[in-house]
Amino acid sequence: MGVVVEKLSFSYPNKIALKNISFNIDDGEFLGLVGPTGCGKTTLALCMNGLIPNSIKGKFSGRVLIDGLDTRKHKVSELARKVGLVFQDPDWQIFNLTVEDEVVFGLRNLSFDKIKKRVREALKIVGLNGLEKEEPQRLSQGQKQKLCVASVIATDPDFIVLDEPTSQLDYKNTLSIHEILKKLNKKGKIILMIEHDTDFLAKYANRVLIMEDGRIIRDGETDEVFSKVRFLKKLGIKIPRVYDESKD
Amino acid sequence: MKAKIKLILLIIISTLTFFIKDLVLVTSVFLAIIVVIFLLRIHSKLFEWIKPISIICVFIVILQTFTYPPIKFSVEGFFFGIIISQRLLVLFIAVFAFVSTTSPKQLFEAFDFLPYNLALMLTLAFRLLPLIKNEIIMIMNAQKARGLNFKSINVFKVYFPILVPLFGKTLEGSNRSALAMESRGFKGK
Ligand SMILES: Nc1ncnc2c1ncn2[C@@H]1O[C@H](COP(=O)(O)OP(=O)(O)O)[C@@H](O)[C@H]1O
Ligand SMILES: [Mg+2]
Repeated sequence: MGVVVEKLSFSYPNKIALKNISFNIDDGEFLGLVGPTGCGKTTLALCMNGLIPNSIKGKFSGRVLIDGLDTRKHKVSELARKVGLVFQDPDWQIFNLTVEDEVVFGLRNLSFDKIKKRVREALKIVGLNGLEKEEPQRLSQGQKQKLCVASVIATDPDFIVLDEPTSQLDYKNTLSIHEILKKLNKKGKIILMIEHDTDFLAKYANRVLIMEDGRIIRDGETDEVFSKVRFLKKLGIKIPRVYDESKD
Repeated sequence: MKAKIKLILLIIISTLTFFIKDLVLVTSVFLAIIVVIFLLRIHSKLFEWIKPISIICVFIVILQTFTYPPIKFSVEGFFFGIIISQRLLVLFIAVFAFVSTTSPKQLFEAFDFLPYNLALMLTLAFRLLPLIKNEIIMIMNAQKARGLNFKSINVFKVYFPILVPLFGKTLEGSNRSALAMESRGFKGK
């Protein structure tokens, strides 16, 4: 498994969103992606599982390879087996009527026993076991987001992309989402997380990308990127507490 | 009560209201449905929802009173407005009663005679209602915070600032839902 992004550019009908982006992700990485609102983070996430360019139209150039598969040549439903995508707002990504059904939703072509096992494991990882029969709408916001994560990990993708999953959560839930992701990362999943709270990334990510205006302007190990305090300040990115005192 | 029986009742009531044009009859149906609401103990919840609709009804009555041909004040127009408003309210309250006494799960079961995808879509559509209500409340609060007065008489002045962002948000939301479904391998074709 590996992710290759090569000279990727994308424009919506009236807006250039990504400009010549290239980077690779190796096995076992936990990547943080930060940058000001509107810089193209969500657009980049949508490129990771082929929603761009297959479902969202615009001007696309360059290429994205997921485990060797070119996203232009494969359907989103195929790519979904390799890439899981969690969006920002759980209310709009839960469609089923019980927690259990929600997790089953993406599972197909598996035997009944296998499905049961997958669901049980996925719910256990996020700590929602015991709530199988609950209506998702009755869950708290944090539990809903965990359910979205469980639904994605049940399909067992090697690469999980999360678009600001914690932006509506309190500290405790944010922490527990990060802990869950760390656990998945240790099990060998590649994580790409868009997150504005750099404190969490400083603790959990091994590598950080910074975007500005459709470009990746920094790509390096977490320590190295976050220690450039003056540079972060200029971009309006929150300085992680551990680096706040250190010099540029 | 079984969800499917309720669904059939809902369809009958909404079809009937289309054909009733008599003031006495409409008023009796209207009062009857109000009684049902109280019996189901969902009246306080209804009042939360009914405000915007009532304002639209008042607007309809005023409009009819003055535009029922010929264009000047007329008692016929007033009663015609009352009939239309009551029909609208009956329809609204019937849907409300159905949705608020049926859990999404029962709702889905009520649609089980339909193909899976269609049933899923209908359930999703009904499930959106509470989300939309929350959006309305949030937008209203945001607008209030910026000094908009919802007690103002001018319907357009009050409702445009709600409807415009609401439309945008609902569209954006359902678009996101569609993308999320597709990301999880749903083909739906
Ligand atoms: N569906 C769309 N149609 C047109 N423009 C869009 C669309 N989605 C995003 N944009 C624009 O593309 C740019 C990047 O957006 P986005 O990727 O959502 O940024 P971020 O997630 O970093 O806030 C923004 O200027 C935004 O307005
Ligand atoms: Mg975004």
